[in-house]
Amino acid sequence: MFKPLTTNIETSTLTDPDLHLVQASLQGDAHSFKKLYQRHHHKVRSTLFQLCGSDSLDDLVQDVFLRAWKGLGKFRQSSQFSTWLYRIAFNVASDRRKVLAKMRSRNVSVEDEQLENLSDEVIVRDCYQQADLNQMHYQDLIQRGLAKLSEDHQAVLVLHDLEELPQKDIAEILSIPVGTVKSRLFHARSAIRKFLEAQGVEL
Amino acid sequence: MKKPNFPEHQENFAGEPRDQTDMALVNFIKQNKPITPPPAPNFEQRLFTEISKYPQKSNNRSIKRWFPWAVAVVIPVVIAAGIGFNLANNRSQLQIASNSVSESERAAIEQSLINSWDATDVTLSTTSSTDTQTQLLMELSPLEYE
Repeated sequence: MFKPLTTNIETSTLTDPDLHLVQASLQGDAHSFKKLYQRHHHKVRSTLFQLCGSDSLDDLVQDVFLRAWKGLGKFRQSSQFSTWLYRIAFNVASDRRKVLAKMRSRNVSVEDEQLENLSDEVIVRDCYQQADLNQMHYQDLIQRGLAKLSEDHQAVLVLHDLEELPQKDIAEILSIPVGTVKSRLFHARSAIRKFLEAQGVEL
Repeated sequence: MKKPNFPEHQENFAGEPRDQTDMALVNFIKQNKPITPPPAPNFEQRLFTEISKYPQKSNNRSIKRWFPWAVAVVIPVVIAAGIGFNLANNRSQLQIASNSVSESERAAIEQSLINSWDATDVTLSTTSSTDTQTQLLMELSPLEYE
């Protein structure tokens, strides 16, 4: 009737496909850590891009994996490595956003809208050359819509709807209850829907 | 604006959209997810060059893990060993004292005790004479002692 909690933890530990690579990395095997990097760098990169934009993206990804390598000894193997890694990515993204916010508040002569447009132009030039104009426009809208959200709502929407992480993992990554994840997701979706509808998108 | 076209696929992860509007929104977001720019060509090499500057300290980690346990075990053992050593040492000293007293020494000690006893008698008699003198002095000059 009542299952002990330890059963779930043990199961998650046993089913974590990264665990043997983590243990080898802890012994100093950089090759195993390279395999971990190759497994997860796409999602980490994508999450950082959705949360922080394309500026200094390589540096941010490097920061995440460097922090993971240095802090591997602190990784509690009762949880999934990927969840722990996303938590680091989220912290790196938060730090980056704080730095950007400070820079923005100092540079009062540059309007937020100009920054967004500048950022959008860079993204368009770098990333969307192969995409058709219509999709480019929608991608641009999503990017701007995400930027309009609060940090909390943006994180939940990116992790859940774009990166497709389960709510349980998101709760662990953000250190909040699952109920709060659901609540933030509801408000984030409402906000981005309003933005998209204001831009003429019919949903 | 023209309504965007997107496939109506079902969600299969936790936290499914609650209604058709949510599902339409989530599908729209997914379909038009901003494309992540690729990393620089030498990015992986650069990352692992940086990582190689920080070797894992697996020994330190195991020491850190076992250090509290080692302290918890070693300190009581050391204390117990110290107490045991101290008891054993004191007991051997007592044994040495009792064994090392010979008959002649015992006689000398006994004689010393008798002498000291006699000396106590002399002191008592001296004390009693001193008390008599004090009483006489009190009678002669009572004011000085009030």
